[in-house]
Amino acid sequence: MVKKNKFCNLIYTCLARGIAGLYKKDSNIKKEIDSLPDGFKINLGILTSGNYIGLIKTNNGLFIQKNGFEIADLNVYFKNVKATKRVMLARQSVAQSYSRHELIVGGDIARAMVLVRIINRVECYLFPRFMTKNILPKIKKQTCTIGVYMKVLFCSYKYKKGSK
Amino acid sequence: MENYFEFINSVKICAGQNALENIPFELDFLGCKKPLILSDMGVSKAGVLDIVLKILQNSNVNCNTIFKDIPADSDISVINKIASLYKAQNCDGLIACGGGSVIDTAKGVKMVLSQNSDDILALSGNEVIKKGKHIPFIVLPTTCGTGSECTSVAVIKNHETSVKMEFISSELLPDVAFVDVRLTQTLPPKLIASSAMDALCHCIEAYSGIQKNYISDAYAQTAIRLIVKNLPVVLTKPNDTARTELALASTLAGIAFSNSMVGIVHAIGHACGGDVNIPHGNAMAILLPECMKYNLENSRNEYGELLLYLAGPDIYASTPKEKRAETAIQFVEEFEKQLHNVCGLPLLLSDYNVTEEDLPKIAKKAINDGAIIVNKKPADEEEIIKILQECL
Repeated sequence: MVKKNKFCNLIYTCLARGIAGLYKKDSNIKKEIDSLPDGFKINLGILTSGNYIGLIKTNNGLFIQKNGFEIADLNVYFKNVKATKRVMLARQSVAQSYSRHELIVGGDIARAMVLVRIINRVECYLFPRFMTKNILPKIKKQTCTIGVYMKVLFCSYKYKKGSK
Repeated sequence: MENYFEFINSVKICAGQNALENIPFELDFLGCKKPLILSDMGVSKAGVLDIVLKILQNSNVNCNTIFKDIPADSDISVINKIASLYKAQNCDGLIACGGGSVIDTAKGVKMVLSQNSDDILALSGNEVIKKGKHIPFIVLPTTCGTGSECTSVAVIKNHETSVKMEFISSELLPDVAFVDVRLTQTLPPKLIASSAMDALCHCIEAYSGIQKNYISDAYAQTAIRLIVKNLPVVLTKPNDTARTELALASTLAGIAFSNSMVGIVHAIGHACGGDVNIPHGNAMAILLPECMKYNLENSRNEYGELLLYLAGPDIYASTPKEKRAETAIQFVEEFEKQLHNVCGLPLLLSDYNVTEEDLPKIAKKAINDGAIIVNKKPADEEEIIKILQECL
């Protein structure tokens, strides 16, 4: 039995809450998420440690499924914990991770590009510019970072089965 | 250069004079006695398939199972049909004789058979396919551009949804690829120029993207040198050496981009192919100079280094270091104009009746192409529209 990495669980949760929270606050993120069909399921995770989180697009935004879905339309997995931490802590971009063969994508690669752009934008909110300036292009923020932190801390965006 | 890279090319390359004569030996080595031969009507009508069949008929290989109805776009239903034929005829290997579509179809069939899968869509993506059953697989490329004989990539269309699915896995690599002048000698000049521009584009994008590495750089440099030296010769005074070296350049470029990926030129080019039906090689020729200009500040060093392989040592040495990147772009533009004058290679999107109104939908598709992620300079829809406007 592989031991799950608690820290990775935490950062995945923060990222997922950041995405779900920014759906209603950032028009670019909303546009990207709205380009996915309702019911579209995404699993994000680490292949070797068993850390997974699921995201589902509904007509009311994006919601989170703890531990991921059994079957998803798009699976994006990191090969190891270190690679995950480098991306999730803004030490390298998703593109850099992809170019280092650290990412496995199961499903339509075009949909994965949507997710990459969403993660890039969310990271620009979650991290100060001095941390992201070498890995991500500057964005024009549409809401204040503190508001995003509040959503990450206090809104669970938990997916309730059956809601569309 | 990233501080970590991966490189794979497990394909045996049989290149040069009489290479095709070794097909029976390679099949025997792989334990294949009854291959399923895949090709298309164009290759068959050009007489290329007959050359291969004659060689097989003079050996102890059973070459009676042939499938020639492969469409211009590799298709899921055709792949399933061929996989059923393979099983029904008890074949024990695959030979793909054709261009990118035939080779990608063969890769799809190999995937279905080796993974024992009924649903090829479940295998789409990047590095999701696990090691499967070995299916002997030989490729005979009949164009000099795709490099598909040595790439880990296949693009297969789902005609039901009109979506082109990308498959990236080292499991797609063939066992052996043949480079023989007889495979490409019936290609018309315009197609030679357009497919060679595709190969040149593979090299330049592989050399300047974020996934570049020392090994694929070497392949890209050699391929550029061979293309620039041999393409004008093949178009004006063709000879066997020039044809072979040009075909080999395509293979080397394939190895380079299979490991370093392509970039924005291919991302936009794929979208142009899907939306406004511009043949892939022509789209590459049209887009390459403008995309190089877009990437210039992020890829200045790489373009500057490539001047040596594009224009040769004299021009490289006499060009100040700070001007080399711009000179490399100018060289590509002049080279394309030369091809346009010799064989009519299209250089503008308007040659395909593309208008300003078509650009937003091309840009929208391009930003979702997997190639865009490894381009050094990120690009959004607006920036891609600006590039396209320059190409109108």
